[in-house]
Amino acid sequence: MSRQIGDLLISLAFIAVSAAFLALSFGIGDRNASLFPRMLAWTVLVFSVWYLVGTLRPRTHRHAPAAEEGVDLVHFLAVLGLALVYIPAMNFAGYLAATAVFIVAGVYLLGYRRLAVLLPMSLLVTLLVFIVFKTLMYASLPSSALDNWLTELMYRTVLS
Amino acid sequence: MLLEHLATGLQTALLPGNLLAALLGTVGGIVVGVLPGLSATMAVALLLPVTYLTGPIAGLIMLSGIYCGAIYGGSISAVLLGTPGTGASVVTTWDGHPMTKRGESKLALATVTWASFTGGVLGGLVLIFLSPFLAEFALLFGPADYTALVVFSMTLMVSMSGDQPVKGVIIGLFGALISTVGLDPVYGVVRFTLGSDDLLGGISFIAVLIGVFSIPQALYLASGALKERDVTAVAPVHGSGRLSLRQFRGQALNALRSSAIGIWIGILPGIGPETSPFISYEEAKRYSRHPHRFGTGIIDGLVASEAANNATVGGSLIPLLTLGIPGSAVAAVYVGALTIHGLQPGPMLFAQRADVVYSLFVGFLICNFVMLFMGLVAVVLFTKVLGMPKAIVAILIIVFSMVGSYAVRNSIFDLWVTVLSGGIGYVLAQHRFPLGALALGMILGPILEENMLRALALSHDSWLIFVQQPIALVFLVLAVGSLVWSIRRAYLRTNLRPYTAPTSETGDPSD
Repeated sequence: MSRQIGDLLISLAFIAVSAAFLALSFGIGDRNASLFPRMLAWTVLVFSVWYLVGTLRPRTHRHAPAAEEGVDLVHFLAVLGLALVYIPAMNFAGYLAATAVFIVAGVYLLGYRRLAVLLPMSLLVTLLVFIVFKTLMYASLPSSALDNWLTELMYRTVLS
Repeated sequence: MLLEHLATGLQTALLPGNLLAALLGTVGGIVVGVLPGLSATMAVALLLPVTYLTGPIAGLIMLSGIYCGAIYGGSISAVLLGTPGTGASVVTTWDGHPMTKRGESKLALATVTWASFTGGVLGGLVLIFLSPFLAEFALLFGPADYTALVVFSMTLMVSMSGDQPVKGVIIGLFGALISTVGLDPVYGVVRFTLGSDDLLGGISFIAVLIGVFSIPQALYLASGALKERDVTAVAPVHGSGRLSLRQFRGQALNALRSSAIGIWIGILPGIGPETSPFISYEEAKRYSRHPHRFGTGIIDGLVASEAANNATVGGSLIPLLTLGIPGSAVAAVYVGALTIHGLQPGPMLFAQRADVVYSLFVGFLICNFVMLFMGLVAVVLFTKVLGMPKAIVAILIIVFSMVGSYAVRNSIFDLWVTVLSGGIGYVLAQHRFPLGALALGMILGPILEENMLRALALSHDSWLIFVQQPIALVFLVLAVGSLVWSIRRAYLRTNLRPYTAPTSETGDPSD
């Protein structure tokens, strides 16, 4: 995708979103509560149109190219896709199982294939984060039966 | 009074939990800083949820450690690889890497460590002794003055955008716009939720900050933009790492001057540790008796660069803590850390939570001592990080981002926000949108709205209140000046030079 098409799509996206905010702001009953978002939406809309007009002008090639050299779109999309799958997986299978599998799958996908290192590393990191967040910070993580069992075991060990 | 507060701050900062926070933060910061392609902003954003879970004092000390450590860590790879770990260490490569090539890497690393420590401590001392006076002055501010001050701060979005100010305005104000989703801060009216319960509490700025600062860096590593070979060619650490008394004496003035430049640049909003080393390096060259040797591998250049960038860290916290102005993306994340604990940066923080402020001040100095110790004793260990496969680093960043994002509100919805804002942030960074402006907009937006509505309520809806109050008027004039200056600078960059260099040599997508 050329830089100009990218700029064009981004400017159109900003125009669409700011116009949507603007339209929705008219549905807010309170005048004071709608004042600020409406001011912002108008400003973003105006500047996005300005940006759009700028992208349609012929380029003078004065700007330096962005650091795109060597960017592998397949890896980029694969990792982004995997991250998007990781969320429902955590919700469904809990933090422990989803994270251990995500680390192995993600690292493997990016080309690191030494399973003898990868598998123990994945388990170690998953458990370490779990222990630090659960016992030191008393934070919550998405849980399944396995997570709950391990949490109970940890608390029992700590208490005893 | 100041000494009393400092004594209390010292007592608190020396509590084991806070010392541990300083140690972990500084070490974590150095590790992230060493790895080229990962920025200080990312390190601070990634650890933001941890500060929520640890409490404000330990959390802020940890953030300071991460910030100081990351800026210092960047210089290690600058010396050993010739590739700056962060944008702040670009100048360090000029003399650091030639010294490594000559087999003097240990001397270069020791110089970098001492210079960073000097700059960091001097920056911290100015932060401690200047901030209370500025905060006292800022107590005079009313809602109209604050509105004008925030408007002035928001003009920094423009200066963050280099030669394309329009992009800074769009993304910064867009950040402010999405911060209006949910309940409005003054009247409690529901806005833009589209009937979703998840949006009722607003879009979590922590989820967005983690997304835009961490996920793009992971995707950047994953997409192979940083080649494995670039970071595995680590030069061995060898030579003598001891600086002589003569060398110390010879560099004292250089270190002081460079620190002063760094602190001043830090205080100026919108300019960060990426800029100060360039200025201090030029000044060191100008005052040197052997300017022709700069760039060939001399410690003068290293001292100038590292004292300045570390001094900028302390300097940048001055406007943030006293006036509530986050002058950079990292500072914006600091505001995030304060606001998740219900603390508002600005003069009232000094009046209401002096314990937090002074503990942070002392903790900041402690972090610099930890950095010195680590730099002198364990620098070789940090170079091992450079051998870590990028595939593992990329995936671990995503895991930490997700866990941190979830832990703050226990919300799966926030995870979607993190990943989506990360993907969008990556694309926007590739098109040279300054992501720091987005953070600034998201954090300053609610503050601006609240103060603006209060000022209008006081003046019975008369907008003249913003020009009738002298302090507000001064800030509005400054805002106009800042806009004109930024637009003029952008115009000159675009039209008078044949080629515009990228802002960061690392190609860091989030800086």
